[in-house]
Amino acid sequence: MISTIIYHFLLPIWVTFYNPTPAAKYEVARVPEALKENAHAVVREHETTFTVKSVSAATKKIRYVVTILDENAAEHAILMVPYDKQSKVNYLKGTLYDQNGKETKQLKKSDIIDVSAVDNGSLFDDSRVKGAKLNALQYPYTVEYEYEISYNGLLFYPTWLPQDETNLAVESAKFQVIIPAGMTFRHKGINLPDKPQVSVQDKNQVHTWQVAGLAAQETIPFQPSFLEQVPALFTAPDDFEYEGYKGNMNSWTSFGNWINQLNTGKDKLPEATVAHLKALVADAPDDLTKVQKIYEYLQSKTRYVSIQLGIGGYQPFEASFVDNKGYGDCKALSNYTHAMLKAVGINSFYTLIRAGRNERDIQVDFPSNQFNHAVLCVPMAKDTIWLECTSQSESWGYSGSFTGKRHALLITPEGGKLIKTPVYNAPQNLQNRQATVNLDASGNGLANIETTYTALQQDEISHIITADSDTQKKWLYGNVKIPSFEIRKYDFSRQKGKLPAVTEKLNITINKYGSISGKRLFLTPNLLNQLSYVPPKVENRRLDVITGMPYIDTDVISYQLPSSTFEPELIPEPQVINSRFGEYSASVKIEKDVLTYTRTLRINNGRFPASAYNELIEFYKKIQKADKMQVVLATK
Amino acid sequence: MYDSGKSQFSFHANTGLIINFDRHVVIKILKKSGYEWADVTTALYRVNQGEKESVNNLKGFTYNLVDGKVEASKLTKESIFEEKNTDNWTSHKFTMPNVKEGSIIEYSYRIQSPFLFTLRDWTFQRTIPTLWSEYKAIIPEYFDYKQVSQGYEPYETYTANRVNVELGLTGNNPTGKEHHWIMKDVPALQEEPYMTSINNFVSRIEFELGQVSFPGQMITNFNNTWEKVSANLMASDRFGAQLTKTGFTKETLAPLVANESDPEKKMQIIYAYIKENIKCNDHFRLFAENNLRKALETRTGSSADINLLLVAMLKEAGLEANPVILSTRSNGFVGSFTYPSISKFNYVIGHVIIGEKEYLLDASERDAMPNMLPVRCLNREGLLVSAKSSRWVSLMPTTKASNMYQSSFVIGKDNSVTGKIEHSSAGYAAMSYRKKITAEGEKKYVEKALSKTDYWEINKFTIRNADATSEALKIGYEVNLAGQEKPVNTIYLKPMQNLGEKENPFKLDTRKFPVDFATPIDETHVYSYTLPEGYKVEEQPKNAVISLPENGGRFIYSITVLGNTVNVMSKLTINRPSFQAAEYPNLKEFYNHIVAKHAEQIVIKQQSN
Repeated sequence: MISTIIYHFLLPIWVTFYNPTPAAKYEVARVPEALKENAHAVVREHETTFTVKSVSAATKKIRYVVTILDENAAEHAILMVPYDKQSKVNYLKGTLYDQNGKETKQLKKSDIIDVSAVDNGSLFDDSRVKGAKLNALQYPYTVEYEYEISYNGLLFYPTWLPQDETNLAVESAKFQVIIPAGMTFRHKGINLPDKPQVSVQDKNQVHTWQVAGLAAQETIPFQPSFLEQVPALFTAPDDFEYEGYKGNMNSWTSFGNWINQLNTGKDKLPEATVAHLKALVADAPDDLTKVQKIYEYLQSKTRYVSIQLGIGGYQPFEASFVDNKGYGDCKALSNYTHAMLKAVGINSFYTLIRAGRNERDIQVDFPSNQFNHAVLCVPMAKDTIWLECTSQSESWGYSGSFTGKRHALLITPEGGKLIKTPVYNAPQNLQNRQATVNLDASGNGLANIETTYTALQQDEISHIITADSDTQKKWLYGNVKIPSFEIRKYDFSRQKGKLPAVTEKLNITINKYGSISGKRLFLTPNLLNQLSYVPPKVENRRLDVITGMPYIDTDVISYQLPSSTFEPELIPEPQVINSRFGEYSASVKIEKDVLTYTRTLRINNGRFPASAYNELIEFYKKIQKADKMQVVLATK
Repeated sequence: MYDSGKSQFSFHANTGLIINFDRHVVIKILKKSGYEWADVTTALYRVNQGEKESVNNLKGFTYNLVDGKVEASKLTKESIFEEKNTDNWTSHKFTMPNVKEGSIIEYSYRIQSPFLFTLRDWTFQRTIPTLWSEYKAIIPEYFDYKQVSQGYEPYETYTANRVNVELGLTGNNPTGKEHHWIMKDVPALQEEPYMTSINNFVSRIEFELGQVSFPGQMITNFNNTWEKVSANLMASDRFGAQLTKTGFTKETLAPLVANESDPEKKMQIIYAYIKENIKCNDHFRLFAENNLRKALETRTGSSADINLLLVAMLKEAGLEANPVILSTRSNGFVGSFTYPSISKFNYVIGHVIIGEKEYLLDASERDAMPNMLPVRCLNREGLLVSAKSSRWVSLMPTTKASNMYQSSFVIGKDNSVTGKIEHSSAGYAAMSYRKKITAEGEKKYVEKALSKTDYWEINKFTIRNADATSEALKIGYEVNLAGQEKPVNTIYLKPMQNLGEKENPFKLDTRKFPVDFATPIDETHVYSYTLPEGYKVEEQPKNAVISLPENGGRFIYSITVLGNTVNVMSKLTINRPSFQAAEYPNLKEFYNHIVAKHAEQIVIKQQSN
């Protein structure tokens, strides 16, 4: 006992002794040159101490010192500490140092702001932020922040990402979990030795991880996910308790059971509604039709409103509430749909997912709460139907770039089960275009264009078709890549289904599409789909090349030439370009007065070695050149 | 469908005089994209823990047509929230129940406010069409609010009648005026390219408290003439008062101007000194954030600190210098036509008169020059303020955004093109390039340019005069456009390469608001091409001169062939920074011609023998 007390007293004294001139310690000149390369900021020291008190209580203390080298890293001068009803910010301190490491300012209480952290998408929740800013006007300078949060209710243990952005170097960082002896937790390291140093302090176990000398990373095109490149440590509880709900997340099964606890009894619907739903599906020939009808009913009756209060961040509203008010968040609407399907005798599973465009997948081997969204999964005899219950326009059964191609957690009566959401391949992500253009002798054109987009290629445009006509027109003027044109008529239609499709019909006049110089008419027959992007050169690339969405584009454009005035002078050779990244072909054919241009492009997705990058540039360059192929017509 | 507001005063024994603002709204939701109109947020003001605005009598219904019958769903308390944003602001939010396509929502509420200084503004126009929008304000004779209306939509009616005002006082109630503004069929407001802040164009009415005169009390006057605005400002601690004591700049000033007697040179020296030595913290302000002495000592400050310091130093040096206050482009218009008030201004610059010449100076932007203000300041007119008087000065730019591209290209028999391009930019064009170069760092900027692969290979990229603001910025690089695998008989040459106007910036068929380029424009291309031996021009684009009416702009394009050299010249000038909406079709057509001309090609053929 006595030894512990002495230890506690000694530690700070020893630190002070060891470091008699703390001022000089943060001098910018002490940052190793190698860490300044490509860096806008350098983390000098970063310490996180997560102290678990019990299954439901913990504190997290963070102290860090960061040197801001230039204006691009100015946001590091700002500290934002989020908290809510289940957590409290115990204190918040800050110190500003000039480039010589001399202390120039201490954060005062009056400098700390306390504001609501509700984003625009949320109507109401209780998350708040304490914030502070300590900035000097001359770069470089250094800020030090320290704060402590205590948690009452523990659903998460921290994720440690010492280098959490590009152009940021790290001199040293340390992460500690202090946990009472006898309590267990789990951890998983990436680009980091998983095994921590473990020591015993008091009646606690202290687990420590450290990193040092991490050089700044830069964003380069077609790079792998950031998480592959930097050290990261995930931690999670075994036993936990949140707002009085006890659970264990040792396995996906047990975490699912905790969610079951929250959802139990929330799926009751008023008798009248049940009767109404039964009548609604009475004529449906099969279960699939019933699901469609219920989903359409949901979309016509409800809308998404986010309300997250306390346990409400994880627990859905009662189905009867949604039935009465006609709104809810993702949990409430998924649960409501589950209840409605149940009422007509169809089984479905409430499902947790990490949603977002380009969002990385969860760590499948590390059961923990990695989710931010809920959807509904309906297992059918032959296959599985996915329902996004927050959208009033989405197709039933489709899981696009927001929720597709990743793992999700089904909440079944037996607990949680991981399942993969649909992946869409090139032959499913199509853009098929047919157009006819009537060209007159001065190069002006009247065009009828019909384009069908499917699966991932319709994700963007499917939002436009629900907008008002002014927005649609603006979108068309911005997205149709013709130098000068006017829209006469347009129309969008949508075919819903597991592979939804949007058809866009355009009737436009084009000014001077064919360029006339003297007796010649120059025509670039690729009307609407010229590749505009070519990847830039990258010196000494060492990261693998990851290509994005796979797709196939087909364009068939027929030009009715101004009859008998012109004859072809130059017809370009057909172009075929093949590589491991995809295939391309384009050709022009003239029959009488009709010139037909046909182009197909298939882009593969995949992972390729860094050495393939120049080949990728060449592939795009060749396509770009081929897309500019030109036909020359001369007057007879 | 219907949006109505009414402000009236009321007296209560325990709160004193308050303003009640009653709002009543009816919206029909046509499409799912309109669901956001069913979530309503009102910002409420409060003084720290003291007086505050509050929402009362909130009622709401959603009406749906179900099986031919109207079904009403009531807004209940589970759907109403209040959220504290900061110490002074709270958000009152509610969300309407059972909203579907075709629903009609209706809500009404009252805001009680003890803040008599602010009579609620009224916005007639929204991003959705409004069939009927009206505002009523019943103002007792004690208060004189000045009205400022703006926008492009006409009032259906406006009436003002003398009335007796029921305040709820025991004894005599005052008389007053009932104002009533109505707009009908107001179209949705849409943002357009090339415009200043959309706030300039929305149809709205605002109020400024001019004076208060209670019976038996002194009349309290607030700002209501430009002279007064100017005098108040000159007396302010964070503005004019700081310009009366300029002695603190002596020490800095003396060595700078010791041997200089020419006033214009003095001005240039002081201006350059402040630009180079006092760094702007990117806070754009009207009032000084700090004492000017502190800005000088710490070598940093807001735009107001810097420009007021500039005025102080110029004065100390014996020049006739004064501040000019203005509203930046994103802040909206203010000018001689607006109601005199300080609240619309948000920025200050310096002004000097030397003999007949006048100079406008902004030292907060490194790349600005005398009479070349940063783009943010180019907002019609500013108010020159001094202790004695005030007057409006024009902020119209006198400098263009000019770019000049020059090159000599050599064409190979294989249709390849090589050459060296010299791009020189001046005025506002140089300012914006310099900004980009500074933001990225010169090294990164060059690296990025060299890594581009989308048109031609770029080599030996150099930047000159990046910091020499008074000189043109010169960017030079070598280009190489790959040709065919073997020689070709016919070469089709795009004389503008990829540097011409490729797309018409004006795409939409109609225009509501003025087109604002911010500055006049000058784009010149001068290229010469050397043909391969044995090749001759067979056909070339025709020369062209196209002008905009009323000397708005001009486009000249010419191609001349001299032996084996082809000279190409293209010059686009836009003489005015802004054009009225009525001139839009001309502008669109003008750009149509340029895009078409820039797309034309030269045909070059190998001669037999």
